[in-house]
Amino acid sequence: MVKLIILAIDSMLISNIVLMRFLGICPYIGVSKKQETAAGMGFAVIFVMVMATLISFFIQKGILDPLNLGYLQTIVFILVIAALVQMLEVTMKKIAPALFDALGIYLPLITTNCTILGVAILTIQKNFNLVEALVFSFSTGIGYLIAIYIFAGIRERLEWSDIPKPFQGAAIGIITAGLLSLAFFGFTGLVKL
Amino acid sequence: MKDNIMQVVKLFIVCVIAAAVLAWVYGFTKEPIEKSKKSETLDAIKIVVSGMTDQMTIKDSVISLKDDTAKVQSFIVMNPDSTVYAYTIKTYTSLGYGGNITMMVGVDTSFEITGIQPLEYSETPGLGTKMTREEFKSQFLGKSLDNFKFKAQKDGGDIVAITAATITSRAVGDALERGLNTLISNFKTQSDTIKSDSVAIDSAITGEAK
Amino acid sequence: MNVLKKLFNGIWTSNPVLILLLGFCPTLAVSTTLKDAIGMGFSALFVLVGSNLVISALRKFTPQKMRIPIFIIVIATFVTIVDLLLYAYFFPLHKSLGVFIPLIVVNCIVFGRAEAFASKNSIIDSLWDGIGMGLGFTLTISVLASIREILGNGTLLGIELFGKSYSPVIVAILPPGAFMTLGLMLAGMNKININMEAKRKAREKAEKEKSKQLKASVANG
Repeated sequence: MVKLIILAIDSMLISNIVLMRFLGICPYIGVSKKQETAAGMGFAVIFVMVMATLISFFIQKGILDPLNLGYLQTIVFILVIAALVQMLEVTMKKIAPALFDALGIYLPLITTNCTILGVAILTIQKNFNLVEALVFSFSTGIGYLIAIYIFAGIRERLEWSDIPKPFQGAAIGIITAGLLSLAFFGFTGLVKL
Repeated sequence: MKDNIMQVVKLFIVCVIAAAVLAWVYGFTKEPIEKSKKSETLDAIKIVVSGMTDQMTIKDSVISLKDDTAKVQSFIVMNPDSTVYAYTIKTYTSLGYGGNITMMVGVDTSFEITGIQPLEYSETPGLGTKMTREEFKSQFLGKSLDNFKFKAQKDGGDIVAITAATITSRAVGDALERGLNTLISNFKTQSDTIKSDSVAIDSAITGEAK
Repeated sequence: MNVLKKLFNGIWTSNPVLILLLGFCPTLAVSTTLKDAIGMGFSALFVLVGSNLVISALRKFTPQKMRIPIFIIVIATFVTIVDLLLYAYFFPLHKSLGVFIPLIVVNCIVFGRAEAFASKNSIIDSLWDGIGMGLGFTLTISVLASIREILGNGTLLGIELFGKSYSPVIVAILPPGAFMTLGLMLAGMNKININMEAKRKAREKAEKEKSKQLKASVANG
C-alpha cells in the first residue's frame, strides 16, 4: 500500500510527465491559453490514459506475450489508442452528452498526444502489475492536469504583459515551462521508492 | 457499400504487408538482440573482475538478498579446472536520490572488491552520476567488510563522498554492503570446495567470456 | 538548385522545430548529450524519409477516409524497424534513447509531413522533403544538445573541454535547462527572422525610392 502511494506521488509530482519526462509538450503549449480549456484537456487525458493503459496492458499480457509478438507492440498500441479515442467519441455522444460537451472537442487531439502511448509503453517496460498500472496511469494523468492548469494560469497573465517581440508566442511559453519545471524540481527527493 | 468494403480490404492489405515486413526484420535482428542483451551483463562482469581469460566460464545463479525477500542475480567466474576465480553480484539499493540504483560488484575469493560498475540509475546528471567515474569507484578496490566501513565519512564511515551528492554516495555504500553480505552468506562457507553443482544454477553462459 | 532550395526549406525557412513548432518532446528529452541527439536525429530522419516515400507511393491507393489508420500503420512499421535495428546493432544508443524511439510514432513532425506533404506530392518531392525536414530536426536537436552538454557537463561528444577546474552549470542538463535553452533558441530564431524581414523591407523601400528618383530625373531632364 505504501509503495502504491509513493508510486502515485512520484508519477504526479516528482517525475511529472510533462515537466520532467518531456512527454505531451505539443498539446501542453497548444491548449494552454485559457485555464478552462486546459482543465478540459487535462480531464480528457486522465480518462483516456487510464482506459488506454488498461486495454494495452491486457493486450500485451493476453495476446502479444503468449504469441511472442513483442515486436508488434508499437504498432498495436497506437492503433488501439486511435480506435479507443474514436469509440469513446461515439459512445460518449450517445450515453453521456453532458460529458461529451465538456471533453468531446479535446478527444481527437489526444491520439497524437504522446503521453498516452508513452504511459502505455512505460507500464509494460517497468513491469507493473494491474493495480500498479492503474495507479501509475491515473496519477500520471493527474500530474498532467496539474501541470497544464498551472501553466494556463501563468499564460493568462502573460497576455497582459509587455513581452519583447522575439519572445512572443512559443518562446516565452517554453521558458515559462522551464521555470515551472525548476519549481517542480523541488519535489525531487521527497520520497524514496 | 462496395466502397466501404474496398476501403477495409485496402486497410487489411496494408496491415498484412506491414506485419510481414516486421516479421522479416525481427527474424534477422533476433539473434543480435539476444547477444547484446547478454553482452551487457558480460561486459559489466568483465569490468568488475580483473584478469579474466577466455578459458574461464561464467555460471549464473539467483540468490536472495540478506534481510530482504528480493532475489538478485549473481555470477560465479570459474577457472578451467572448476575452481572459483571470482564472484559477482547484481546488487541494488533503493536509497538513491532518484530511486533505485543497480550495480555490479565483483569480489575475489577472499571477498575483497575487485571492481564496481553502476548499471541502472536515475541520479542527477552531473552530480550523482559522478559515481560512474574512476575517481569515485577506485576507492573501493581491495576493500572488504573487514577493512572498510561502507558509510559516508560524514556518518562516521570510510567512503569519500561525491561533492554535493552525499545521498548518492551513501546509497552506493548501502548497495555494496548488502551485496557483500549476500555473497558471503551464500558462498563463503563453501568457497574452497565449491563445485559446479553445489549452488542452484539456473543456466550457464559458457564460452562467451572473450 | 531546386533540391538545395528544398533542403534549405527544411533546415531553415520552415525548420520543423523552430518555425513549425513540432516535435518538442524528443527535442527536449534526448538533448542531454550530442551523441544521443545525433542518434535520435538520424532515427527520425530514417522514419521520415521511409514513411514519406511509402505514403507518397500509396497516395492514389489510399482511400480518403482510411488515410489516418494507413498513415499510422506505415509510420509505426518504420519506427519498429528502427527500434529493432538499434537494439540489435547500436545497443548503448538504444538504451539511452529508451522510450523515445517508439514515441517517434506520435512525433508530430512525421505525421504532419505525411498529411501535409507526402500524401499530395510526387515520390521524388516527398523524398527531398523528408530529407530536408529530417536534417532540420537533426541540426536543431544537435545544436541544443551541444549547448547543454558544453554548459552542463563541460564536455562535447564525451571529450572534456575545459579541464578539471571548470565547474559545470548543472541546470543546463536538468529538465528546466532544456526548456530554457530551447526557449532562447526560439527567440533567437525569431530575432534573426525579424531582422531579415526588416532589412528586406528597407531594401525594397530604397529601391522604390531610387527608381522614383530616376524617373523624376528623367522627367526633369
